[in-house]
Amino acid sequence: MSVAIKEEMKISIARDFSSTPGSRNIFEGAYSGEEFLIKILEPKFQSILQSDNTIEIDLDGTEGFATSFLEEAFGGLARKYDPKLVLEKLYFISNDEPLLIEEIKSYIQDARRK
Amino acid sequence: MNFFRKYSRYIIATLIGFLAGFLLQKIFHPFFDEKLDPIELAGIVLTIILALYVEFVIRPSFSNKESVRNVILQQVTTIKEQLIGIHQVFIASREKTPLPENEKMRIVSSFRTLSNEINFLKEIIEYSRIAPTQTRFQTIFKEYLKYKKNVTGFRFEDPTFSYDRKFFIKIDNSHKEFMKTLIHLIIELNQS
Repeated sequence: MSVAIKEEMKISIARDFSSTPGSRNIFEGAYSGEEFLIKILEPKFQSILQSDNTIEIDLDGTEGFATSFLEEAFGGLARKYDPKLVLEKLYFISNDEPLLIEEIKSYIQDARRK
Repeated sequence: MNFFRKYSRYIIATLIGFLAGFLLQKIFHPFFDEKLDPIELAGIVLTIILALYVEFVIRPSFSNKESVRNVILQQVTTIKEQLIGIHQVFIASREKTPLPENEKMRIVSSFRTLSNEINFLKEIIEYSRIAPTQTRFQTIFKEYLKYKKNVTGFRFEDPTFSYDRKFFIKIDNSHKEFMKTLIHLIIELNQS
């Protein structure tokens, strides 16, 4: 009998990407939301799609996030995949700015309304 | 049950007072009127109970509500001041083409401070469990997101970004709406 073990992948934006997250699109400059989505978030998201696993996203340790970065990274993922699935699979940690979690969730929920 | 535990000392003191009264009446009965009017006695008992109830139940509950209301008012005022601060930074930087990186950083970090102040308000409201204020908080959060999106959304981090006339009107309108929700909450709290 096989038992499915629920594992959690971790992404720290400050450690794995940048402590100064930048613009919305790649052509606007370094460390954009689009770059984070393509290089880090989406590949990890795809790798857990067929499993029960979730991704823990640590938002702490950065200089702060502009709406453009967050909307493009997380809203962008919800435009490619089912927003409900994105909300189920992503788990956020934000001690520096707790309200950021609700903010990101609102971008995921509203992503398809654009 | 909690009422009796909390005010047991006062209840015991009242009972001792009654007992002492009856004993005194027994000992020095020639000095007291033998006839005891039950209506008068009930009146005295009710007056004492009412006085104790007002003093130890109603008044503390009013003052608790008032202090919670004051904490919320103070927090909303802090948020209002933060919002004015961010808007002043925006107004000072809207003529700059492109918007300098240090100004962008200042705006983003100011939003972090504002976000944390709003989160603190959320925690106070959740703790106080004042239902209408909870509903009002959702509007405040919605207006905050709208304002932040207008100030730091679009191509904000693009090195060539600057606020043009179109942005200015949008940002100014969302700032007014955000401010309006805060003022509505202040009025509501003052009227409650």
